[in-house]
Amino acid sequence: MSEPLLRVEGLVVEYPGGRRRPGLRANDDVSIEIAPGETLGLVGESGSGKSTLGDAILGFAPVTAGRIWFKGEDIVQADPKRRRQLTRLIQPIFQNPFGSLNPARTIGATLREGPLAHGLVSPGEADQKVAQWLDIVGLPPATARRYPRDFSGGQRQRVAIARALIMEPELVICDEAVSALDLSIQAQVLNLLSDLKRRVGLSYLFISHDMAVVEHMSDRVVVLHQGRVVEQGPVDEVVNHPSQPYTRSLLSAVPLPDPIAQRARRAARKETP
Amino acid sequence: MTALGRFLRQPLALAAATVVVLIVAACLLADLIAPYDPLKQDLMAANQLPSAAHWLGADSLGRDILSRLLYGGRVTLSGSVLAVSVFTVLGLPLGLIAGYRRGAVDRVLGRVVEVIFATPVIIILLVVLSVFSANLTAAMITLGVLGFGSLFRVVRASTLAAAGELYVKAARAAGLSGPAVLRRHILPNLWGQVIVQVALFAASAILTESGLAFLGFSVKPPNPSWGSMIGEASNVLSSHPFQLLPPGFVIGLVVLALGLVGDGVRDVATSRGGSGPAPSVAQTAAPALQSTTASAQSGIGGQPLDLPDDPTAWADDAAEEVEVWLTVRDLTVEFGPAGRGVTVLKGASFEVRAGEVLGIVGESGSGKTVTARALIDLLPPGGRIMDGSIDYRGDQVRDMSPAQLNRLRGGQIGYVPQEPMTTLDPVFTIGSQLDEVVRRHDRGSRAARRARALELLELVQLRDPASVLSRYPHELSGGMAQRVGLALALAGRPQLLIADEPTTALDVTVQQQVLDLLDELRARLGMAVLLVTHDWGVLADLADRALVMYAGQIVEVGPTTAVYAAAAHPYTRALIAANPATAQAGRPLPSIPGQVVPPGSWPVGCHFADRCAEAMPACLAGPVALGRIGSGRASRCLRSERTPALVGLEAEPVEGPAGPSRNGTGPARAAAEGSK
Repeated sequence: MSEPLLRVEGLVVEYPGGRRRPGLRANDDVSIEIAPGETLGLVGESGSGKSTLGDAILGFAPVTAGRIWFKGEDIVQADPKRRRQLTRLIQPIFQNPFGSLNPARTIGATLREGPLAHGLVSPGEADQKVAQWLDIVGLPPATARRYPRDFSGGQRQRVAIARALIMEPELVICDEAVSALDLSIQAQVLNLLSDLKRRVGLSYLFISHDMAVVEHMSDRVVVLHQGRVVEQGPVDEVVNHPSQPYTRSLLSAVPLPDPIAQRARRAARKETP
Repeated sequence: MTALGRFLRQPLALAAATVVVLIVAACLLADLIAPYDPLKQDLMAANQLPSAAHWLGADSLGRDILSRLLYGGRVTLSGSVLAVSVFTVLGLPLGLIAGYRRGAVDRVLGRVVEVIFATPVIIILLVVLSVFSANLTAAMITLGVLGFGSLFRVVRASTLAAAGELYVKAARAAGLSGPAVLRRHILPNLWGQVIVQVALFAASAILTESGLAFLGFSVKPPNPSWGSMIGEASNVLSSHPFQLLPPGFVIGLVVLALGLVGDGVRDVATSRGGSGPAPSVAQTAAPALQSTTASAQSGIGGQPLDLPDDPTAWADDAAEEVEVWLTVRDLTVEFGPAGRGVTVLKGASFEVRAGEVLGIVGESGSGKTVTARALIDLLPPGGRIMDGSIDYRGDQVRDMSPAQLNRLRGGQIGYVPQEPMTTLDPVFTIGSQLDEVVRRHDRGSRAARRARALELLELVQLRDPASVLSRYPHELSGGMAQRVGLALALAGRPQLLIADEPTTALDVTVQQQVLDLLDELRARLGMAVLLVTHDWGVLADLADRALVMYAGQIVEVGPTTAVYAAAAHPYTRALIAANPATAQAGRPLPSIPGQVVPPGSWPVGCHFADRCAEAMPACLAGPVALGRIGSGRASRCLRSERTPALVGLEAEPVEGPAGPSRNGTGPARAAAEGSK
C-alpha cells in the first residue's frame, strides 16, 4: 500500500477530571490508517469515542499520547499557525444541520469565509466560487443570499457539505453527517457524498452509529468500543464474518427492515440466550 | 425583519427610546433652547412657581429651573456616558476573552471580578473624590471600573455558550483565527445582552451621580447638575416643595426609560428566531412549521379539499371477527393562531385492534407524532384538533372533561415519550416520581405502594429495582431511563400503550433490549401498542400492521409483512428502496428527489405527486382517496387502485360515507385509465 493519507498511532485522548470526578479516557491506544481515496467507516455506540477520534484529527480534542500523521507530517506537534493551514486539507461535516450554520449569517457569508481565510480566492472571486459549489451540491444560486432558517435539514446539510468541500480538502471527516436526516433525504445526501468523492478524489472518515450507512459508504471499517479499537478490516469481512463477539452483537442488534427476516432473527436470539 | 425593525414595533420600548433621545438632544442643544442663563440670578423671581416666564419656576436664587435642568443634564449625562464607556471597554473584551479562551485567563479574570464585586462602591467613590478634590470625571471612571463585572459576567457566560455551538466549531475548522471567530460568529449573538446591560448601567450611573451631587461632590456650586439641583431643592423642601419635582421627575423618567429600552432590546434578542439551536418542540411536533410559516401565510388561500378516508377501504375480508379498541375517524389537526392555522394532519382514519401492534411509520413532517399525541389530547402548544372523532372502547375522547381525560391518560392509555430522560424531573428520585403515579391508581399504604413500584420496575426488567428507586434521573443510563419511562406508563395498567419513537435516542444494542421488552410486555399484559417510528427496522421488528404516513396523510395501510413485500404506494416503495440496509453495494441509493411538501403548501392532488416517478396528470387534478387494494390493505394512489384486488371489488356497490369520495375520484380514475 502506498503512503497513507492519515495515520493515527497509539492515540490516547483524556479529558481532565474535576475535583471530584475522575478524568475520562475517551480514546485509548487507537491506531488507524486511511489511504488516499479511501473511505474508512468508524462505528461504535455512544461513548465509544468515535467522535473524539474525529475531533482529535481536527485538532479539537486534547491528545494525551500518540501521533497523528497527515501526509507524513506529525500534526499533533504542529504549531498553531501550521495547524490552521492544515484545516484547509482536513474538513468536517457535522451531524446537526440546524446547529452547524450560524443563524445570523447568510449562506454565502458562511461559505465564503473559509476560502478567504486561506487565500484560496480573492474577495472578488469568492461569490463565483460559492455559486459554483452551490450548484455542485444541487442548490440554486439564490441560496447564497438567504439565511439558514429558510432551509430544511437536507438542504442545510448540502450547505455544510459545500462549506467543507469548497476548501478543496483531501480528507473529510463526516461525523454522523446523515444521522439527523430522514431516510429519503439521507439517500440523496449519501449519493452526493459518494459522487463528490469520485469527482474530486477525496478520502472520508465516515463516523456513524448506523451500521447500514457505514456498510454502504465504506471500503474498510473500524469498530470502536469504550475508546478502543475492537476490530478493523475490509467492510465485507467485518460485516459478514465479524471475528469479535462485540462486533457480532452490534451487527445483530440492528433490526432489519424485512419483517420476516427480522422475526426469524428475533426467534433465533430467543432460543440462544 | 431586522432586529431594529422588531424593536421599533414595540410601542413602549419605542416611546422610552424616544424620551431618552429627546432629553439628550435637549441637553445638547441647551445653548440654543434654554430660555435663560442657568447662573443668572433674578431675586425678584426667587422661589416662583411655574409661570409663563419661568415654565418650571425658579429656585431660591431666582435662577430658571428649566434652563438649569438643560445645562445640568449635560454634566449628569456626560458623567454617565463616561462611566458607561469604561464599563463597556472593560467588560465586553474581557468577557469575550474569558469566555472564549477559558482556562487560566478565565480563572484570573473571574477572581478579579469577584474582588471588585466585594468592594463597597460608595466608599471607594468617596475616597476617590476626596483624593481628586471632587473631580466628577475621576468618580465616573471609578464607577465604570467598579461596575464592569456585571457586563463581564454576562458576556462571558454568553460567549461560553456560543463557543459551544457547532457553527463556531465549524468556523474554527475552516481555519478562521480566534479574533475572526469572535467578531463574526460570537459577537453578533451578544449585542442584545450588551445593550441591556449598558442601559441598566447608564441608569445606575445617573442615580450615582445624583447621589454624589446631593452630597456636594459633583460640580462646583453655582453650576447645575441634576443631582446638585436636588440637593439645593432639598434645602427649601419645607417652604417650597415644588422645586424638588422637576429634577426628580427628569431623573426618574430617564432611569425608567433606560430600563424600558433595555427590556425592549431583551425581548427582541430572546425572540430572535434562529439564534441558538432550533426549538425542540417545533422540531418534534411540527417540524416543517417554522421553516414554512412564510409560505403558509402567502400560500394557497384555502386548504385543499381532501376527501375523508373511507374506513371500509382497509377492512379485512373477515373483519367482523376483529375486536377494535380504538377507532379514529377523519382526525384533522391544525397548528398556529386560530383562523390562520396550518393543517398538519388531514383526515386520518384508522383503528387499533385488540392486542395488536400498529406501527405508524413516516418521516419528519408526516404527521405521525401529531397523530399519536392528538389521541390523548397531548398536542404541543399551538396545536388543536379541528375535526374528527376518537372512540376508545365506546367513549368519545373528544367529549371528555379534563378530569376524565386525565383518568384515561396514564390509566387505560399509557404514553411512552421519545426521550424519557427529559420527562423525568431531575430533582426527585425515581421512587418518588413512580410513587406519584402509582398513588393515582392504587390507593394503599406506603408499603403497598412501594411494593407496586418495585413490581413495576421488575416488570420492565430493571436489575436491582430497590436501588433504582432511590436514584436520581441523572444516575440512570439512557436505556434504564426508557425502562423507567415504560414503568411509569404501565403504572395505570393500560390496555393501549402509545410509544412515540421509544428507541430513537438509544444505541442499537440498548434499542434491541427495549424492543424485546416491549414485545414481551405486550404478550404478557395483552396490551395493544401504537408504535410511532421512522425506522423500518423497528417497524419490522414489532408491528403487526403498518400505517405509512406522508405529508399529513395516511398513504398506505396493511399488514407489515405484506406492505414490505409488495408496497402499493410509490412513496412506500421508494422509502424501502432508499434504505441503505437493503441497497446494493457500490450502486447509488435509489433516492427520492426533492423534499416533503411542508404543511400549508400541500397541493390539491396527491401530496407525493411532485416527487413521484409514476405521477400522471390525474394525480394533480384532485384529491386522491385511500382505496382498497386487498384484504386489510389500502393505498392512496390512483395507480395502485388498478391492482387486480380492486378489480373484483369495483364490481361491488360501495355505499355510505364512501359514496361521494368514489364519485370524486371518478373522473380522475377515468383519466388514469385513459392515459394508459
